Amino acid sequence: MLVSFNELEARLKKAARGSGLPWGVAEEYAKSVLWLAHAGFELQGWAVDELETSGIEQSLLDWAYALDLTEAPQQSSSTPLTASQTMLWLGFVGRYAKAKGVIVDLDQFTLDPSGVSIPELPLMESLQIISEHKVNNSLNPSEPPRLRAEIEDDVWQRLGVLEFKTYAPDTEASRLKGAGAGLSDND
Amino acid sequence: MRQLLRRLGRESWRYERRVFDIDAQGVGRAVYTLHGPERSYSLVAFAHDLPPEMRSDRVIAQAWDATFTLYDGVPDETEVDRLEQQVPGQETARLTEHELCLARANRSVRLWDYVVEELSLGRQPSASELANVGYLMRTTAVYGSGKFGMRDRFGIADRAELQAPFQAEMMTVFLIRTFVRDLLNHSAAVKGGASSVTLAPELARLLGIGNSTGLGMAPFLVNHPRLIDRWISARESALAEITASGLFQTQSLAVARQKVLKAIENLPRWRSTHPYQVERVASLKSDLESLSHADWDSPSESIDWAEQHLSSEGKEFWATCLLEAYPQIADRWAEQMSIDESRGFEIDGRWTLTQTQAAIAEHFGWALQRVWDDADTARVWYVSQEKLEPRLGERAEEPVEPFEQPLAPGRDMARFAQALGGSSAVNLAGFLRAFPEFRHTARRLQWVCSSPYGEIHDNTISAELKPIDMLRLKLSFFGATYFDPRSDRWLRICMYPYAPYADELNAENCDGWA
Repeated sequence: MLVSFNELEARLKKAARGSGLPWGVAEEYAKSVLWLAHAGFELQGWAVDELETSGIEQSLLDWAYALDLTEAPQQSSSTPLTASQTMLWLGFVGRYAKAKGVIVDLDQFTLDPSGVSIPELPLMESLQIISEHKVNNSLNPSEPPRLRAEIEDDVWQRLGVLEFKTYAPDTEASRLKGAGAGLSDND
Repeated sequence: MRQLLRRLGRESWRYERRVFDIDAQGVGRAVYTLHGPERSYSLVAFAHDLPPEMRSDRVIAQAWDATFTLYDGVPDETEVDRLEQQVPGQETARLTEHELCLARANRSVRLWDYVVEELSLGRQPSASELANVGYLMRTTAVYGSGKFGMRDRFGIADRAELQAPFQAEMMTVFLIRTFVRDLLNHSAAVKGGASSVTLAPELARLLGIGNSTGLGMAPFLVNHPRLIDRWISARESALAEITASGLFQTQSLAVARQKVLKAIENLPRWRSTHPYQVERVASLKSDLESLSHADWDSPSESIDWAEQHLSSEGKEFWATCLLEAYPQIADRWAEQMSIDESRGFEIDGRWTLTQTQAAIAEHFGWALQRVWDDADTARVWYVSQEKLEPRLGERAEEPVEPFEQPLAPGRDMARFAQALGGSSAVNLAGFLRAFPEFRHTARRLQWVCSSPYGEIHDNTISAELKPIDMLRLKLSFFGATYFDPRSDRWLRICMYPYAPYADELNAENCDGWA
């Protein structure tokens, strides 16, 4: 399905929060997946898998730490990343390229800040940064931004399930009082 | 509203009612289009036959008297058919990049039936009855910015006519007002046949579009500190330029004075039963009298005088009069009101902890002075599971704390400062890796350092919090009038009263109507 980037980011952030991540880390998760969506990746299972298993927080913190220092996020040297984790890492690398204004050469392709040069890719379990160099200003100057993000229906629904966990169950008192108005507002 | 109509009039935008296919029961569709120099925009409206018991302004409502979308361009019949399947459902709609806004409206029961009856009998309604309510329909939501699949803000932000925030939403409401007037005349004609008359233009001008707004608007102010900074900065910068401009220009002073006299005339229309607002309106009445007798040589002198002699209501009113009196300055600064919020997301983790603490002390000193005890943290912002609407709960009485939204920056910044004090991290990045629960707050701190007007310097979870004050801030930037609180978290306002309709708008009448 096609969604707007605004609603996608909102759902990603809330889903990440619903999975138990702190708000600020959930924002990092959403921003990185959003970068991949802007770059033209259809959001598949990798966009929600790691939230459902709740094992990604330390990696997210490590990659965010690198971005905080404008350093390239590195994959863990001890534990190889799964394909889903590699995609999330790629989102952080994309943000790094954008923030620093560099082209990042990976072992299988090249990443530019806007992501538009990324070819259609299968999921990969192994990607390494080889080098980086400054962006040539003439790179893709006329490429229009994508207006819609593509996401598998099932992934959208699974993110929605996690998002729902951030919402409080209703009580009659909250319905009447919480929003401040009575149920009949006719005039 | 004001800058939108000034632009439409100045650029001679052309209005066209392309479709008005409404049946005798008031059910059907309509398409109203504005053609500008480069682009066209169309309001696609659907009128419904709503049973009275289903009419509610709350987000929990599922049906409305009329539903709308603002379409980017001119829709053909196939597109309107598609929209008819989606727009009436509102929050359940799936829309596309061709739609910019989604809205709905309910009739004012007390006024609609009366006016239709009078017109159907060949009589004009009483002007005072019209003024008592002020609108025939009130919108209960006007969504934009990519909600429900609509086009994202970044997809329209480079268009001159939509570059300022919420211009698409204001255009939607402007066209809704014209549709509502036409629907009223249609209903009267159906009821009265040949003996009916249409609403006289001078009476129609009295009417705006109402808006019923609840808590949903308040989190926006906290969630967008950099945008709010631009709004307030634009206002303050415009006022600074006006007050630095030397002596009053004769014409400008005349305009400002005329606004005061018009306000004195209109103040009786501003009716509110809420004690909080009744007191404020009374203060304003007294202030208007003072303003009408005062005299100054320069805008600067007038501001100083207002500071010494007027209530908060009066001071803000006079500042608004000055902005009205210098529209070229106001419009120029209004062009600075938007911001690309996708930029500047990354945290600068190279900050030292001492630097971070100093920034908190400089920008959140007001928060550090609070004790953040039970009274200071009495409330919780949360979103309801049932209707996904923002609500405000009592922390000690309701089980909502686990669902708390990050809408208490003052408290969170005080906690952040405390945690920093006990850390030995070499820099902010290291601290945040160890204490990720402060990432959201650290990012906000860095934003606010370069957005001095971005933060509400008060406690947003206090037992004393009055959310209507937050709602009023946002609504005031739209140009909303007749602020009427119905409780401490819900209110009504009016938009476009006295404005020309879409089929009347021209370069001469596009300004000066407020």
